[in-house]
Amino acid sequence: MGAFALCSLPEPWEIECSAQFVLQLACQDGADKPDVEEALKDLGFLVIRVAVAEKRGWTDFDQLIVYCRPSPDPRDETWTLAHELAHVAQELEGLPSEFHDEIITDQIARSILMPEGSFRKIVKGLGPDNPGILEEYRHVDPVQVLARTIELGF
Amino acid sequence: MSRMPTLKELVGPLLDSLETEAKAKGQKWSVRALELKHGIANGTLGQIAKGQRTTLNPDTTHKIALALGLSEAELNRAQRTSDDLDDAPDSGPERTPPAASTEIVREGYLAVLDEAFDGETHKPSDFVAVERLLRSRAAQILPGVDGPQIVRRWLDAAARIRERGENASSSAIIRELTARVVELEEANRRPVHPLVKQAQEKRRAREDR
Repeated sequence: MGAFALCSLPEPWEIECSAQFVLQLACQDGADKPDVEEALKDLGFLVIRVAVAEKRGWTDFDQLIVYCRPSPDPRDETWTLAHELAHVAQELEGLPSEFHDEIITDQIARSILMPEGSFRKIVKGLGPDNPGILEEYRHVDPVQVLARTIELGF
Repeated sequence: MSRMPTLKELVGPLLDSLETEAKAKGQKWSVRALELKHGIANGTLGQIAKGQRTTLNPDTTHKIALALGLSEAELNRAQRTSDDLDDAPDSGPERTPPAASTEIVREGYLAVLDEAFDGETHKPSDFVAVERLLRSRAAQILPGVDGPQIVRRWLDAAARIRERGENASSSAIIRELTARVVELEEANRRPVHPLVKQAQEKRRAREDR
């Protein structure tokens, strides 16, 4: 794994590196969709759902607890957990939380939920008879699917 | 901004301290007995402590003042604070309803609190503490989430803190909840990934420098 230089924003390849590592954890046993909650648990984190509306989620890296605001829409929780997993990935890369950029963290979260390789394959394989990208990624917030599409230059 | 306590904030903790005091002396104590002793209508003190009643007539004010060892002036001031919080700024003799959105949220969580409140386990001050937490931390009972079940855990946490003789502040309740959840889930906790341990050590070393 690469190491982020302190006080500088990570390069895109470093983001992919973090994302790939956590993705491996999240897609164990050949699962085709990442299970971010399992990945967090595999790292030793407790996932606790707390009905506090101040934040969608936050991570206590010392206590190894990830708090997630419960939501009736499972996509909200998936996104929150992926975002928190992205924070954990950055910590593992040596970037302390005070240097985490929320926009980059979102980018990493999208890489975890929609890895570039499979995303490109799905988009390229789409034809008139194939389900849309939103259908393929129905477990992800559609806004994030759109953001990933733009991010990857489609 | 600091303000005077409302009727609920004044009466709830007092009822608790009276009970604690009586228990410490080995005496039997109940809110009902206190009401009977001072000729206060059944349930009045409980309603005040839950915030369901924010105004009192002069006779009841006099009786409650005697029962709780307060001055009537203190109770009247608390009633005015309750009114100030509940009323629109220019309310006259006719009460103007508060802004709808605030009231819906407030009524929503008060209803959930009411449902979760168990008179046998919880005391009025637990209700007040959790209500304060809901209000001050902008916490909401979210749609689709079992509100009463969650709030009941918060009330239980406030009760445990009270039983330890500590102040059930909002942060104390959150600490208690976290500690409890961690304790409950400890058994299912998986081993910590070596990379996480490594990152934690690096972090601590950085903080020590």
